[in-house]
Order: sequence, then structure tokens, then C-alpha cells
Amino acid sequence: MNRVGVDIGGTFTDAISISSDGRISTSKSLTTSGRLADGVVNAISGLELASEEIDYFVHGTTAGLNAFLERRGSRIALITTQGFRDVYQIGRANRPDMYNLKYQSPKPLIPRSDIFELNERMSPEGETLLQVNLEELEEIAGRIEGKFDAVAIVLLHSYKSAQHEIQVENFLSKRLPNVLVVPSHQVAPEWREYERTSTTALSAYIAPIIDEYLLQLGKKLEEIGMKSPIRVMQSNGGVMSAATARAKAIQTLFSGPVGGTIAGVEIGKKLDFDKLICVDMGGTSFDVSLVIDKKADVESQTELQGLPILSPTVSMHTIGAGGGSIAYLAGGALRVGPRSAGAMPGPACYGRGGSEPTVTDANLFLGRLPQIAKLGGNLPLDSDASQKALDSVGTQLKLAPEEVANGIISIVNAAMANAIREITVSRGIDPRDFSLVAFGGAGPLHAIAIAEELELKSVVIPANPGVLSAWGMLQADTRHDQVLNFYSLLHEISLPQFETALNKLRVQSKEILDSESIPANLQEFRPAVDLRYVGQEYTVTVEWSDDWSVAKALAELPNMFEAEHLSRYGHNNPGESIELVNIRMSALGLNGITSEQYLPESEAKAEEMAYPVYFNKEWTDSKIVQRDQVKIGGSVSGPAVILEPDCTTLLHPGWQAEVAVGGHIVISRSI
Amino acid sequence: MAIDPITVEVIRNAFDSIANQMNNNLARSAYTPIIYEMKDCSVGLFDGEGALLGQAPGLPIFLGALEAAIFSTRDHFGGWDVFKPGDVYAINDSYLVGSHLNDVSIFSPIFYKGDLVGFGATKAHWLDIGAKDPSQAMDSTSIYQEGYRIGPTRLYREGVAQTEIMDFLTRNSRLPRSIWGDMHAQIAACRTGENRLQALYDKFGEKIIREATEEIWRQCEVLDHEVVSKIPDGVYEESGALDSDGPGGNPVPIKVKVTVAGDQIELDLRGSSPQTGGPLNCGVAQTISAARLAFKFLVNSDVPATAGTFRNLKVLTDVGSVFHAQEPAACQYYYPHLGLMIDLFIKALSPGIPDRVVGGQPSDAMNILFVGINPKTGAEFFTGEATGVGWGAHAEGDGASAQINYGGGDLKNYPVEVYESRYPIRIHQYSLGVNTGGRGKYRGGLGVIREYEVLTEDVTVSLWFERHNTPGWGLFGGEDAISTTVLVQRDESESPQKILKVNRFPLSLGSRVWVKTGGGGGYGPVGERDQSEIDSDLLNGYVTEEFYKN
Repeated sequence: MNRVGVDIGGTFTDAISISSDGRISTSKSLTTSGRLADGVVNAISGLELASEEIDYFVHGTTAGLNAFLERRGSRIALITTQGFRDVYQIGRANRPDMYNLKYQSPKPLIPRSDIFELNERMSPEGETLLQVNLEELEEIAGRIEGKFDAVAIVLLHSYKSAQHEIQVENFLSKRLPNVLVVPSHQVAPEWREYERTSTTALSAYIAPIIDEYLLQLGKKLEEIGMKSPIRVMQSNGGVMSAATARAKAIQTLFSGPVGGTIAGVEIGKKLDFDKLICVDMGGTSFDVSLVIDKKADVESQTELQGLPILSPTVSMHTIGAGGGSIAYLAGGALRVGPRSAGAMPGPACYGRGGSEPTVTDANLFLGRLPQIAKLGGNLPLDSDASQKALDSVGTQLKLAPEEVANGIISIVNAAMANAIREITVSRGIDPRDFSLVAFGGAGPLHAIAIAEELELKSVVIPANPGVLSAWGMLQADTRHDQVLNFYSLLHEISLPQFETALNKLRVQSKEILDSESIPANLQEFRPAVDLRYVGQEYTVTVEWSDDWSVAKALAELPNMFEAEHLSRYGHNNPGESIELVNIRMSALGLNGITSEQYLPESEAKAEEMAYPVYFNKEWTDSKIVQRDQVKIGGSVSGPAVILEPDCTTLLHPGWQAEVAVGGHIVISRSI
Repeated sequence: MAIDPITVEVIRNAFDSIANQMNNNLARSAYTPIIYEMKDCSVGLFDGEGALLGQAPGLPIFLGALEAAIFSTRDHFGGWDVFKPGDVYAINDSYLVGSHLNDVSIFSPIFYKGDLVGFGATKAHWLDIGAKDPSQAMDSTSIYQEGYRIGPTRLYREGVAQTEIMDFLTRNSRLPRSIWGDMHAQIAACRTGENRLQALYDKFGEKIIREATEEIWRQCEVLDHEVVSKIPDGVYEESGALDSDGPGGNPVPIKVKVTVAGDQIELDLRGSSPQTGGPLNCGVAQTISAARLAFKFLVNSDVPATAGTFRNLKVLTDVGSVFHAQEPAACQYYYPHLGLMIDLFIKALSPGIPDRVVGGQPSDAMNILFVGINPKTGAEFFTGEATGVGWGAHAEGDGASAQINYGGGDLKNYPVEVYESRYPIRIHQYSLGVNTGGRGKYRGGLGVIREYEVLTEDVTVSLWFERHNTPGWGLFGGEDAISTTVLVQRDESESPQKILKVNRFPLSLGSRVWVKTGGGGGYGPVGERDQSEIDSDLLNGYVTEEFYKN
């Protein structure tokens, strides 16, 4: 099977193909803002694989995310229960920026004037207290007609009974056939009205954009002869069909960034690493995600610019540290970032007018980024400009440029290590049990320093780091997460009702997999429940094997919950009553791919040349090695710099790199 | 040679990161949502003399309250020698550490190679500590009605758990499991601070950390001095009054006199009300915390606090006043007068720094608490919520609507769907209070309306709502806001009555309560408001047509 993955980044659109014989080809084209599909077509055309021969196509799209970030989503209205028009604006009434007297909470996507109240009411038990007022609904429909592309419906307690939302949905779909109707029970059937409103509004905001984009892309790919259906990467780390993506727009939101984590999962499986910290360091940001027991760490709630999203998402933590992070002085202290020079003007060494020193300038000046390593494939680097920028800070601190550069790197490395510590502590994990997977333009330059700081045993630099997200997408399984609110004390659950609910979810999940033409032998179901002690608000998700009987699952759940609670929170309360809140079902369509990766074995002996690099406060002669000149099984020992077109790996003294199966570089301490 | 600036920066970041790791650990392992979800807690890392190294974002009103726990324990036992490796201490005495008895400080000393080099400290709200009423009382008249009072007390003595003390603390709470869980979460957070600070000492050594610490404090001090010296010298005075010191109580006058001289600020609260007979009082440690918060709002609000911060802030109080209460004053409501003090401090300085201030707000927690028997479970239930208010407008725009007051920070509201599922109460409305913001070139933020209906017999409601008589005021020609009010209707045959503060007021099936918090004050004359802003207010229904008519 010939497979192609395409990921749209901020600057480049990356494509990778893996042919049925294992041959790999990669390609990059400029991202075409506003006409994203063109960039995708250009990237595919750059591959050594004819479009007609593509059998399997996965795509990470930023169309939804960009529409949100640039606030050019569709025109949406919201219908909600009488008395609760302001839930969306009030939010949780908190002020995370707590010393800022002028703090404003995140701006809702729908102004108050476009939010309509409807007389109807459901009880928390799911019983109708007040019927939907149809006359009022007709009047609201009249006000929506012709003014909006989509309408979100969020009625109180619809996670418990969707009856009123369905009634409103049916009415509006008939009455306003040109308006997309997005009811909250379909997007996020979970309690907490503000979080559900925010999620539903965001979904309605981007759904028409995603729909239009996928339509355009489909046409363009058809024109170049591609016959494969389009699959879309989801925030939860799985893929889905384009048809499903149109209905579940919210799941495309983090379609791009999660590719790197899924690549981490695959590398973990291939090289047998259970626990990985995946770090993606680019120009402006440093993203951390975790792979635990060979699975991506997924959380059921996330947020974007402060707006909550109830949708399973690979957990991703970001700090403002990257190659472009600017160093500056404040109160006599040297600070680095989070302000970034971005792509324009960029670091001083880009020669585009940047005058402040950045992390990239520091790396260049210290020889860690050799001058011959042209960034982005062809950008020449001006190390004199870097030195001038470093001096602008150094003269004030009375430090030599080496010391300033070394200082900038120490500070940014420590900040990244601190971020990883904070994330792992909040999950109850000791980072020393993990290995690091580093990618992105700047990740492999800083990986070993971070590993030293955190006392990690090994570091992996993946093959094809420049198109890693696209590669990761090719490894992902189809995945759909369903959730059903089911509120009961665990010891009082009625077995028949629980079994009925589980079966309902399974039937729904199977229908989706069938609609995506996943053969039954590749379908897999993972049932789970959200549990907590009575009185707690947050829940712990406990998953069990699908071949267990429901009775066995119910019998085992208390113990499994106690164990999970202990591991996640550090304590538990055996004997305390346990509540069940939601039933979840992850439906997987396994991709069934087992092909090995192919890496060209070159006969050329690695060309080594002595080159001064600044390590541990002195200039040290180091090797420069081209990555494609080291065969599988071959090794390089530090100090060395390993070069390839998209990135540079810095090998500190005392560390040794070995090229492993699949072409991934595994680096461990040589002493 | 002075220490290099790179090492200083790495160590400065490490201190804040250690505090964040402690905080994450506390949030991770806390048992009750009031800590992990509502963030009613605070965490700090201190040096061996109790000076602040780094602090995680927590409840801002606790800013600076943690070191009081360390100092009063030292003084109680007669010196630093009392601290031994493996010790863990608890304390909640309001007169020593501020706030109310529900807020329990837990801290542990950190040793490196035999030397006392630091403290990890936490403070968190325990839901029930055995007061006369569940959770808290609105009408306590002495501290002895407010729960158990913990003086400096060891929970661990040189590594050995003092299980009898722990048993006593849990056994005297209506929620023993929560107390047990939260206490141990706090202890675990202190341990995280200990491990991380020791690792930092392993890496840098005692000499470099000491030098870096001095430099970090010096930098913070320099930054604060720079900002304060730009405020015009002078004496800035304001005064005001709270509605009452408790249900049926008397007004509480507050006087604020701020003297700016060069790079120094003095906040003189003398002449304010003597300690009250109700629950409205606080220990002086809490007053100092609140003064620091007021200062932080206006001076370097984006720089994390350390022991170098606040060195140029001096606070004066009368012993025996509402700001410096003595035994047996009740302290459950330790905040209302501090909220007003912060509001007055900002107003007082407004002529000197007009671009940095905001209009007034009804700065109190606005608590509503129902107690009763839940017919579904047959067990006693008690709710407990704080309600958002409108914030004052400022030189850059309108005030924020429906947010927690100055002291609350990241404290979150209670989702209606969760509330209704858990308690026999229905919420009919949760909305912005239209027209409640003060008019101005920039409009004050709107307060909140929340309407409750009781769905069972024999429920009581306790209310603590403030600033009915003193609304959020306008600045520079901006106008005052609409103030806070609460209406209670016991049954349909009665008309709603206005009640701001009450303890365990009896209600029955069908009773309703309307909470209406006040808005924030306006900024600048309303005549200067852009027509487009007025149109937008009307279009969005933040105000009605009458609002902009004279």
C-alpha cells in the first residue's frame, strides 16, 4: 500500500510518502495562506510517488485552528435556556492573571446580541419541567434567517436528556435548511454548561470552514488523479474520514500538532521505549507531550486562548521558548523570551534587520549550529550579525560574547527542563523514568542539555525530523471517542441498564467505523468509565478490556479505580463510595500497517572534520557528520554535530549516538 | 567577584519552578474541589530565615501570609533551633497567621548537609473544621464558635507522624475524609519543595545559592523602588464604611492614609474601626498580606514576588482594631474590610497614577450557603459559593463584568448543572445585572444575578453580602455603580424581603432567593463615551435605553 501524509505548518506544508516497498520520499512546499489546499497539492506533487498511485492519504489540517486564531470563522448564533443567556460570557468568573487590575476574560465567539433565550427546562434527572415553546422558537428562527451560517444549541442538562435539543434541532433544520445546526449533546454530551457552550460554539464557528476546505481539497486532489479517500488527523491522536470530520469539526482543531506525539508512540513501539517525553522546539514555542505505556497521554478537556474545549485531546503543554526567543536585560538581570523574533525579522543571523540576540544567534556563535547548516534548506547565516547582537547585551553585563551566548542557552535549557518537571509532577510521574524524543527545527540542538538537566538516560532523534508530524499521521489508527452521561453510585448500578448503555455506545461506535469502511477484523473497542469518590468534582477514567463481561467489569472497577487514583493523585480512600459519571467508548480502526522503514545505506564513509564548538566553557574540537552518511548500526561519539537538511543534532561530550532500526538516532551516555 | 547574571537567572527561575511544582503536587493530590478546582490555596518556598524565594500563583489575598506561619512557630518555640529534619508543622490561629480558621497552613523545614536552608509552605481552605454551623457561621461572636484553633503544632516530629494530632483534627470535622486527604496533600507538596530545593543545592552549592538569592532580592527591590519613586510624593487619604459587622450589626468605618515619600510607601490604617463584635475581623498578618496585594496591583504586577518585594511598603495598624484583632474576636469574615481597604488604597492613589487605577468595586466574596437534608440521600448537605461582581473601569477601557473580587484571583464559580445535580435546589437565572455598571467614558463592569429555588422542606440559607450602602465608585467624573442587594421570598404569599446578612434563615419548599451583586464604577465623564460604544452597549443589552438618558 502506498501511503501519503501531509501536515500544514505555519511556514511549510510537509508531505511524506511510504511506498509499498518501504521507499520513503519527502517534500516541502510553502504554506499558501488563504488557499491551504494549493500548498497540499504542491507538496504532494513534490513526492516521488504519482498521485494516481496513492492508496492511503492522511491529512493534518490547520484550517479550523487558523480560522479560530484569526477570528474569521463563520457567523454563528446561540440558542440557550431562558435565564442563561450570559453563561458564555460569565464563564467561571475567575481571574488567572490575578494581579492585573485590567484583566479581561477570553472574548466569547458570539456577542450577547446573537444569543437567544428559549423557554424550556429539563431537570438534572432528564425530566421535562417545561416544554419547548415552539412559538418563541419560530420567532427566534425568523431572527436567525439570512444572518447566520450556523446556530449552536445549548440547553441546560442536555447531557442527561437531549430530547429538547433534538426537538429544536429538527425544527431548525426544516425551517432553516441553509443554516448548519450544531446541538451541544452531539459535540460534547458532558455536564458543566459553560464548558459545553464554549465547545459547541467553537465547533459551530469552524464547522462550515472545515466543510468548505475539505470540499475544495477533495476537488483539487481529484484533479491530480488521487483516488484514495481523505482521512483527517484528530486532536485525540486518531484519524477519521473526511465525512466524519465535517460532522465533528471540533476534533480537527489540533490536527497538526498531535502528529509529532503519534510519531513518538510509533517510535516507542519500534524501539521498545515505554515512556517518552516528546519535545517539539521551533522558532517561537516549545511543546511538550507525553507517551506513557506506549500510548499518547490524552486528556478529556483542554483550552485554547483561555476558552475551554470538552473534547479528547493529546495533552500538549507549551511555553514560549524557541530558536527565535529574544534575550534582554531587566533590572540588571538577563532574561530570555517569551518574546520571539519570529520569522520577520527573525534572529540577527538571518540578516533581515533583527538586532536583538536570540537563542539561534547564541547557537550559531558557539558553533553548535555550524555556519554551513543553512536553515530552512537555503538560508545563509550571518555569524557577524549574531556577534554584534550578543555584544549589545554583553557590553552592559561586561561579559564576552561566548559567555552571553552560553548564558542564553543555559537559561533557555533550564526553562525547558523546568516546564517538563512541572508537567510530570502534576501527573505524578518522575521524569527520570523517561526518554526524550526531540524534533522541530531547534529540538535536537537542545535535547541532550535538557536530558542532562533532567537526568534522563537517553534521547531519540527521529528519522525525517523535518516531516515528523506527517510521518506520525501515517502511523495513526482510526479513532472515535463517544461519551454518554450515566450518573449513579457505583455500588447501586443496575447491571441491565449499564449493559444497555454500553451496548448503545458500541452500536453507535460501530456504525461510525462501518461508515468509514473499516473491516470488522480491524475494529477494536475500548470501554471505559469516568469515576470519582462522592464529593469530588473531577473524575478518573478507567478503561477495561472489551472481552470482559459487563459483570466482571463492574466487579473489578472499584479496585481499578482505587489503583488509578493512587497512581495519579498519590492517595486513595478504599471503602469510600464511588460515583460513576460518564461511560466512554473509544472505537479504533487499526491501520494494519506493519511495513518497515527504509533508510538509504550509503557506502560513503562519514566525512569527519575538526570544528570548534563551545562546550563547558571552552572551545572543543568536534566532528561534523552528515546524517545520511551513517548506516543503521553505525555510531558517532560526542563531541559532534550531526547535520541534515532540516535540523541539526548537537552531541555533547560523553554522549554517543547510534543509528537504530528505522533510521532513528538513539543517544545515550557513553560513560 | 559578583555572581554572574546567568546563574542568577537560572536560580531565580528554579525557585519559581519549585513553587509551581509544589502547587501542582498539591492540586494533584488534594481531595476537595475547593483546592484543586477552585484554587483556594497558596504555596511558597522560603529560605532558612523564612524569607520568600518563590511563590506559585494561588489565592492572591494570601500573598505574604505564609511566612507568618514560620515566624510565629519559631517565636512560639523560642528560636530556629526548634526545626529538625523530618518535622512538619500545622497552624491556623487567625491572630498569628491571619485569615479564618478554615485556612490551615502546613509547612516543613528543609535541611542541606545539616543546615537549615529553607521551608516549603502551603495554605489551603479546609471545608469544615468543626465550627458551630456546617462549613462556617455568618454570626459568630468569638473565635471559639468558629472551629478548632491550631497553634504551632507538629504533624510530624523528626519523620514520625503524630497520628493522635491528625486523628483529633479529622475527628472534629464534619468531613473527616476531606480533611485527611487535604492535609496529606499539603504535606506531600512540602516534601516536593524539600526534594527540589535539596537538588538545587546539590547542583549549585550553598555559597552560590546564597549570593544569587541576595541578587534576586536586590533586583526586585530596585524594580519596586523605581516604580514607587515615579508616584508623586504626598499624603493620599480616603475613607469609607462597610454596611455592617454581621447580621443586624453596625457599620464599620475604614480609614486609609497613604504617604508616598521618594521610593517609600506607608499605609496607615490607624483610626479605623475597633475590632467588631461580629465575625468581621482579622489578625495583623492578614492585613499585611492584603496591603501587599493592594501594592502589587499598582507596582510591578507582572513580576513574581520574593522577599525583595514589598521592602519599601510599611503598614501601620492600631492593636485591637478590625485590622489587628485580639482574642476573642471572631475572624470568619476576615476579608470585607480588607477588600474595602484595597479599593480605598487604589482610589486614594488615583490622582497620582491615573493611568494605572480602576474604579471601585463591591469587593467582597458575596457568599451564599444553603444547609438542609437532601431527600435523595437522606444525608445533610451544605453548599457554599462566592459570587462575582462588576469591576471598575480604567483608562484603557470598560471594567470586567461578573468576576471574582480583588482577593479571589483564580477562584471559580459553581456550574449550574453540577449544582442542581448535587443539591435539592434549582437555579432559574444566572445572568449579568443589566445597567449595574457605573456610567463613564469607560463603563464599569456588570454584576451578577443568580436566582435560587429551594426544592425541599427545612432548608436554611446563610448570606454574607456587602457594599449595599457603598457601591463601586466612579473615578475622574465616572459615575457610581448600582450596589449589591439580595431578596428572599419564603413563600409565594409573602413579598420578597431584602436581607444582606443572615445566619441559617429558615426556608421551605418553593422559597426563592435572588442574589444581585453590584457593578463596578465608571471612569471619566460619560459625555466623552464613544457613540459606537453606546450603540454596542444597547445592541448587546448590557444597558437599557434609560441608562444613557439623563
